[in-house]
Amino acid sequence: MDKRSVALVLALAACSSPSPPPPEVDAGPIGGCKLAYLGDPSAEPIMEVIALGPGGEIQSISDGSSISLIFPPQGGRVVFAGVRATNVDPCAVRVAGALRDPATKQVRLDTRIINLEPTDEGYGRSTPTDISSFSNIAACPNQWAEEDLFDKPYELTVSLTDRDGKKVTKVMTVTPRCDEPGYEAECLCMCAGDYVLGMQCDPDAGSFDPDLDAGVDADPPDAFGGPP
Amino acid sequence: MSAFRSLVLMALAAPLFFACSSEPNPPPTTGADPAHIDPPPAGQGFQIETNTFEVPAGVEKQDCYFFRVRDLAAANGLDPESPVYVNRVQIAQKEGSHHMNVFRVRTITGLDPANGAIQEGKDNVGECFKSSNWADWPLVANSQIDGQLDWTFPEGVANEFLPDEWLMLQTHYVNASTQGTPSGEGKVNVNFWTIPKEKVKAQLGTLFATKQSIRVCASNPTPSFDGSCQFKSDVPVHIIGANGHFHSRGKQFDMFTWDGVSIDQPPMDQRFYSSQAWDEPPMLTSPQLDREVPAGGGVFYTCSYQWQMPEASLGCDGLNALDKQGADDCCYTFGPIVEANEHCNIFVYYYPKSDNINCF
Repeated sequence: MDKRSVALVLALAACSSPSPPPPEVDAGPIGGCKLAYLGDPSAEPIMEVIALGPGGEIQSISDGSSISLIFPPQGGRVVFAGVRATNVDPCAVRVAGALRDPATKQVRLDTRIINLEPTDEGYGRSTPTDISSFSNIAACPNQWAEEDLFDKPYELTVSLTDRDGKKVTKVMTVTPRCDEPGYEAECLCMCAGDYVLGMQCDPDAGSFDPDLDAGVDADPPDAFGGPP
Repeated sequence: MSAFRSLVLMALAAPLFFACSSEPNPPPTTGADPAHIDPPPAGQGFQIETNTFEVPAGVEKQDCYFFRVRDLAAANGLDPESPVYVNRVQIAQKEGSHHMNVFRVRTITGLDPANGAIQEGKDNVGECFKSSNWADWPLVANSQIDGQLDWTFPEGVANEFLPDEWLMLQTHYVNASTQGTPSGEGKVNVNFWTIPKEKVKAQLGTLFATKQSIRVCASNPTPSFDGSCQFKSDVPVHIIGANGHFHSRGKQFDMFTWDGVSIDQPPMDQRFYSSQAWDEPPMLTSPQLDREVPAGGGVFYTCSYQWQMPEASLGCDGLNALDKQGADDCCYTFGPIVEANEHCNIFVYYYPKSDNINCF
């Protein structure tokens, strides 16, 4: 997947006309989830944890797996934890992901409501090309874990709750990795246990000591930026 | 109202009146121009300001202004070689501001003060629109659509600015259908009032968190997004300022104090911020807001949305054209444009400072 394809640069084509009243969400030809039930409504839900790998590919995650720290459009590093499931209603599924520091029990979490993309054999999943269908666990910059956020075991919890209240949760130990090609050095810097916000993380050279007093080296021509 | 009751109320109110009137700093001078405030007197702080700029109909303007603390201090009678300690922030703006943020400049990517003290953007074009450019820039102050603020921090609480730090003021004005700029002009003034170092008892810290991987789509019309962010403090901290930011599909914005270890949403008695009005978000500040967070704790926040048919001039075809996913699902995605994008941002101010915190 080209993650930069979801970059923030948008362009507004036109604007400004009186706002029509919003329609009923499910009333017209557009709006509302129309996906068919996945699997057997009377059966217990089944869920597998998946994640986006270093090349944007889907990886199956289980106890002891490595999991990638990915550079998202907004910066930092995120664990994209998703689900593959059956015997659930695919519409408005609540997916919750959490990464816990086993030493301090501190946790970072992300919960969101998504539709599961139907795949095969009655299963649905987080859509590989849509990072918003994964729990975006904001791991780095590391301002929460005592140790490095890479190459050490962390506890990953992923749960799924459908709109009928069917819920399944999995807890496992994973090892986050700075393994996204081209972004390893910056990841190793901002995910380090001693990272401080604003530390200059050179993408080519890894980390070096922050100079928080300066922040910027060059002097702009007009320091005040006010009207002349 | 009876005379007796009036006297009782006056007696109860008197201490508040005298407490306010005894503040060392005079109130802002306001007149016909809502953007006007007198700067602090020499030696008591400094003012940063934008130009007066045009915001034509149909335009979203977002400009970034850079200021170096040393220069600001020197220009207003403060020691340019010493840190300054800000205890009061005043913001005044012409009507039409969508948001105004002040950040400390840190890692330079696409937005570099070396490229000019003023860097303009229009309709989502320009480096000042790209949030990745200030991903690790700590928050200093902010306002939203109500562009007026006058906030004195608790006694002895101050935000420390170092002489060589750069500040970036980012102003976003909207003159479109969901929000207008009546005068067709934007203008921002921000006053930072200082106190002597010896009067500082605790430093102010800030926490900024944002969810950018969000979609509000026709096929998933009522999504919500929850997140968390720790202060990483070994001692309890006090939240004394908070506001949330989303756009017109936003229906409920909540923030809770959080223990830093629980996965589930905190109970409602821990909710300290709630907004149902995207265009009139509460701007909570002390003394009305003062919530203690336990050591190791932080903030849990949630943004809930209701999908709406887009403006006729944009339409689902317009939204679909903007959707890099190509989902053909009439989705509002993250971004600054009010008509076409959504946000889920929290701005939190606290003390004593452990660090400035960014979560995204």
